[in-house]
Amino acid sequence: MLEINDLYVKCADEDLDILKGFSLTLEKGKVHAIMGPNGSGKSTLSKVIAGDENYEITSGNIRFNGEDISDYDATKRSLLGLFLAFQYPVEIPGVNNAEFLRMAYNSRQKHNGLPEADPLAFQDILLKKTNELNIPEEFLDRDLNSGFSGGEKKRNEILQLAVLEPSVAILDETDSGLDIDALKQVSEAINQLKNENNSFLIITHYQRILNYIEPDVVHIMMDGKIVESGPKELAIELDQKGYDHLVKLKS
Amino acid sequence: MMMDQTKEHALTDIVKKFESAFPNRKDEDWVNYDLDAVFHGTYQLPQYVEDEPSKRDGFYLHFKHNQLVSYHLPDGASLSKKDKHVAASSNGLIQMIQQSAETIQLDISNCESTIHIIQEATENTFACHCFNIVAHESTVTFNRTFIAPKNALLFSYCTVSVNNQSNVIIHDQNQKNDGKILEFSKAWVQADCHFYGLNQSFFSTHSRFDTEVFIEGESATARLHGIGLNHPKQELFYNTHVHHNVANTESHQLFKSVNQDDALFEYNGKVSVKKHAQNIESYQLNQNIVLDEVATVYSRPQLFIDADDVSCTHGSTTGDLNQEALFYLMSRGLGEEESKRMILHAFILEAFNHPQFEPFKPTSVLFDFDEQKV
Ligand SMILES: Nc1ncnc2c1ncn2[C@@H]1O[C@H](COP(=O)(O)OP(=O)(O)O)[C@@H](O)[C@H]1O
Ligand SMILES: [Mg+2]
Repeated sequence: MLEINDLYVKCADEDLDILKGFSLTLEKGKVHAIMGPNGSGKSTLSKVIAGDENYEITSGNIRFNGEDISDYDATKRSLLGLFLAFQYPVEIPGVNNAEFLRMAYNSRQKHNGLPEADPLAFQDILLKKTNELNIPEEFLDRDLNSGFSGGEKKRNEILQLAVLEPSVAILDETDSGLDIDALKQVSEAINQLKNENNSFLIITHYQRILNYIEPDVVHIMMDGKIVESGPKELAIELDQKGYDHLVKLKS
Repeated sequence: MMMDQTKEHALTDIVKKFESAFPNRKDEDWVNYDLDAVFHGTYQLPQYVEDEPSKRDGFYLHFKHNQLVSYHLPDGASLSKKDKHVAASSNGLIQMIQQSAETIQLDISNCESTIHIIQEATENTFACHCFNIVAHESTVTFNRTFIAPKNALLFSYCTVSVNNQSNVIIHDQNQKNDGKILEFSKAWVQADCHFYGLNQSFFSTHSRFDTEVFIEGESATARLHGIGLNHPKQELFYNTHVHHNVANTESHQLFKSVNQDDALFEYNGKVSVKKHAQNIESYQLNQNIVLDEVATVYSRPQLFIDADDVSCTHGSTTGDLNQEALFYLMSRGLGEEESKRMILHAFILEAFNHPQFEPFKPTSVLFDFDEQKV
């Protein structure tokens, strides 16, 4: 479904490589988790997949359903079915949350040759989603992420995910900043959205979320590439022993 | 239209009389404003015209050429005229306006109303408008429209005195004017009174708005917002000065601009707090978007504080469209142009974020940026 081949990425205005030979294949219906210390390049990876033009791919490529999407802009990638739940969602005062969601939804509907939703019809779709996710309705009237707490922003990302129903979703530290109840709700929502046709890439520091969303594969990322992959037990081991232990083991 | 040579000569004569008191480029607020170029054009001096019969709905004052040509006022508003005169002012430009036009005095009391003010200059002419508003126990909104077509030069001087629990809202619309506009306003705000100024300058060639507010009584507030949109080569200057002359007063300033190629935008915003004026709150923010790297923005928010119990913030940002926000919206499947427009629209609408300004929110401002690449 999503295939990343020997990816080298640098910051567009600097010469330093951030991703250094990153490869990963995310199959249909699977959940992969990436764990790794701060600064190992996890957020860079997720933004590069989503099409952030601040980064430049110097070699390697990203394929989505067999198609090389490395040169596509963020809009096109999203319309193809990619979704990134940001580690730090941007606040955009003046853009109404519900209206934004409707525009994003309709943009996708249009792309898929499906009917667009008018504000009333969309209201129904939204209310259903907010109920399922246990998200307060007043979220919808507010400006996009504006003045949201860290946890609220993360939940708003999941609301967008639920509305857009992507085929590949990347969750960049969605669990950080969520209290235990919110974490459960978010995990349940993701489990509900999960099916044999979509896949999830969960980036996290903590094994905790992986208790709720069982990963098929756990990868450990360091210094811009994957250094080890294994079954979900790898996350538990990592949680107990820490990255240092692993670094020593490797060297 | 044939140019009347004697009339042209007359403008030079008028200018000469006051020139010694004109601001010049040594004055920091005038460094970037080319006054010589403003006077450089050849303009006709307007002829006196008979009052025009009313053609409008609602309450209004219509200034055209150098005079008030028609009006219709609500109960509680009364009008008187003063002859051309020169009141004491250190600013030669203001003196010149007073000398060139009759001064209209508008006394308003016990009145809740909206009054439209049309300030019109005609093509190739030089027009001056001068009026004083005195409000008592009233809440009045003035919707002011400037009309300055090609090669018109419109000078305006207006004073506002806000007394006895009055609220005065002045909403300026300066839309797509090809001529030049130079406007001076002064407001005195007494205890428990509120003054609101909102200026929308969209796609006008060359405009300058100088607003000075004197907060004279406790629990009085002033709020000045401005939003300027400049197409390539257009110039817009906002100069403000809010004086907190007494304790327990509050002022807010929010000025925003969006600029295309070779446009020039300037914000000089001053706040002065007198020595014994304690417990002051004052906020000042100027935010500018430069759509092309070649536009020029000068931003100078300044505070002059002699008191110590003062809570003030002032700031200024100038940059291109928020790239992070753009990526965020695009990553949700919105097109690049659509996303840019959303961000700009949101940026512009923030200038209307106050209950008094909410009704003036434009529905489709931007759409004039469409023709050109955003
Ligand atoms: N836009 C950028 N400019 C400069 N350095 C960057 C930029 N983005 C990421 N980096 C650097 O790349 C490294 C990886 O960052 P990041 O991807 O955020 O790591 P992680 O998400 O794993 O904590 C860090 O050293 C970070 O400072
Ligand atoms: Mg990160």
